[in-house]
Amino acid sequence: MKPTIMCLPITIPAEIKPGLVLTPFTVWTMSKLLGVSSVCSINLTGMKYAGMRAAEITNRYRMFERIMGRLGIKFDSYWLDNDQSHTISLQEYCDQLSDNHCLKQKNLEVLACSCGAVEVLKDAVTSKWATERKLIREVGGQLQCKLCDSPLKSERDQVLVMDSGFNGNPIKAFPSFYQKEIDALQSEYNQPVLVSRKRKPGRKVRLFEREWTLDTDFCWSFLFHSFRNAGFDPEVVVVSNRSIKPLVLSYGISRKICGDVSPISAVVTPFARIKNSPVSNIHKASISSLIDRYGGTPVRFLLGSCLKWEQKDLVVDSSLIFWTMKALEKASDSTESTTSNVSLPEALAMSDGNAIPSFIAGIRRSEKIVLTPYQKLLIGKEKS
Amino acid sequence: MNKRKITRLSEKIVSAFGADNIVCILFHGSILFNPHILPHDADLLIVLKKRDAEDCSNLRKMVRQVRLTELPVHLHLIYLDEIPENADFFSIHTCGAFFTCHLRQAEPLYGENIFDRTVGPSEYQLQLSLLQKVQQYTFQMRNLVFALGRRTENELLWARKKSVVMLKDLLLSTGILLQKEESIILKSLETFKDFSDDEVDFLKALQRPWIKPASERLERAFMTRCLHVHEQAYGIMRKRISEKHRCRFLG
Repeated sequence: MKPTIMCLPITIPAEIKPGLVLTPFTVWTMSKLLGVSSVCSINLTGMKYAGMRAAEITNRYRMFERIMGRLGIKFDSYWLDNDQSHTISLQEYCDQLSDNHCLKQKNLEVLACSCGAVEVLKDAVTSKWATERKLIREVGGQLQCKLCDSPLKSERDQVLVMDSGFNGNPIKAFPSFYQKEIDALQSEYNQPVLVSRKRKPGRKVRLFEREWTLDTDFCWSFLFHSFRNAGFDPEVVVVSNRSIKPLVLSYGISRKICGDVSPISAVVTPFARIKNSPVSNIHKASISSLIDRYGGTPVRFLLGSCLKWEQKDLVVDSSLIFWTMKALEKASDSTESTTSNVSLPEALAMSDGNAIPSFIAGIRRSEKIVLTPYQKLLIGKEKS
Repeated sequence: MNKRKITRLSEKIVSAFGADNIVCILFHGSILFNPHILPHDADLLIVLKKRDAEDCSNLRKMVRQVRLTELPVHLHLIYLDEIPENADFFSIHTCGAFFTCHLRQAEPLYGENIFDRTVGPSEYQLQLSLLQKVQQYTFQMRNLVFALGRRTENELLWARKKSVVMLKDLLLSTGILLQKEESIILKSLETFKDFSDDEVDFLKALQRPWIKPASERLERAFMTRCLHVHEQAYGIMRKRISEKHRCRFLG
């Protein structure tokens, strides 16, 4: 099996902003530095695509793939959550979970809104684990869906729930200050997880002598297992610091059906916002319009400067693009360091966004610079 | 329809020149972005790795023999070693550094868009090249209005098209690159408030299907309104340039 670095499935919006590309950018750079395969996971199911035709959804994926190509980013493989090899296995995965008594049929109270975005166990609604929390607000003591504004109605019904209990799964965090959060999430996650859906569309399975519609997030959560079936051994997972919960959940679920899923390292990217510059509206721009205007290289520098590993949330000044262009005008010949593959801590140190301004300054001074493997990727000297 | 034919032509070019020799074939221009508008030509750009003295005539023969399109194929042949890394140093015909941004929006019919690997253009060269293009269109438009006699339909269509292109260039000078005529007109009217009511009405009317003006008087009126749009856009451009780049104009 090929050692692999991957990301959790990315939902592709109509317009791709730089922040969304940060995770796949990190997957690509780390895979090159570590010398392992790269897989970019894509979410093509779920509420965000509601009402769209299959061809439109496929076009979203094609657009993403094209934009990655324009940035010089090529993955060894893409993993799509609607891929038949995965969806066909969902029944088998659910059978295994029910055989292990992890998946159960229960009669429980569910709170749901009218648009279908919120369906949550009443007992779990206050849990910080409920992923729907971000879609719920409280108005006058009543819970409402933020998307359709309808009050959540309680209904008792037969539902499919999964016992959680993800404590002790081997996830090593980079940067290490996320370790406490990951460990705490694993040990505190003791709520049953609602995996069946009544309103949302989704894949169907047959369990306990009836048909169930599955939650789309639950469906892609088996991805570690599907990766292994496809010959990839996910050793490193890149997640944004807003996606640590889904990582713990999906890794936990995958290990419930396959205990020998390898220990993983989680590279957690900061949450970055681009600050406006006085001469343009870069902070509002989509990634493709930035490439149209400046080319792929300055945009890679901008992305690279977002990876300040010691920070959780940061603001990046878009003027970096102009300094990059000015520097590249003067770029003299460079030599390359002979370093081959590096370790994950070395790769993180090498890719620290704080080092980019001094790299740019070095190029501007027309110094004969020795490019690190990471700088080669940024500057586009490495064949992707 | 035309796009399908252009794709077939590019396939023939690949098999004739060899996949190893072709960096990319890019399809751009109005057929790609505004297929509902009667096109003048089909724009194709070919980037080759190796130079052969017969390349141009071979391409000409191929386009003639194949006769895949009723439209003339507007073909640019460029060799890889002619493309500067810095987009400030690139131009095609009368289109300067800004044109790289357009070419990055082209559709690769073969290979990857090589212009994504270039850097820039710088803000200064972008503005300068756009100003020069806007000047060229304005002066050409004046010449058309000076000319005596009836205008051909092609000249009228040219004036119509360039009125929108002026807006496109104006938008690009603010960092917005749009290709669809409808979006260009709407965005320009939203962004620049300098157009008079008559110019706004005229620009909105340009979105409707083309009908040739029925008399010489109407043709002249049409051309004059196109010129007003050109001059207004040029005026906005001058104002922007003088504010941002310390370029002073006489008078």
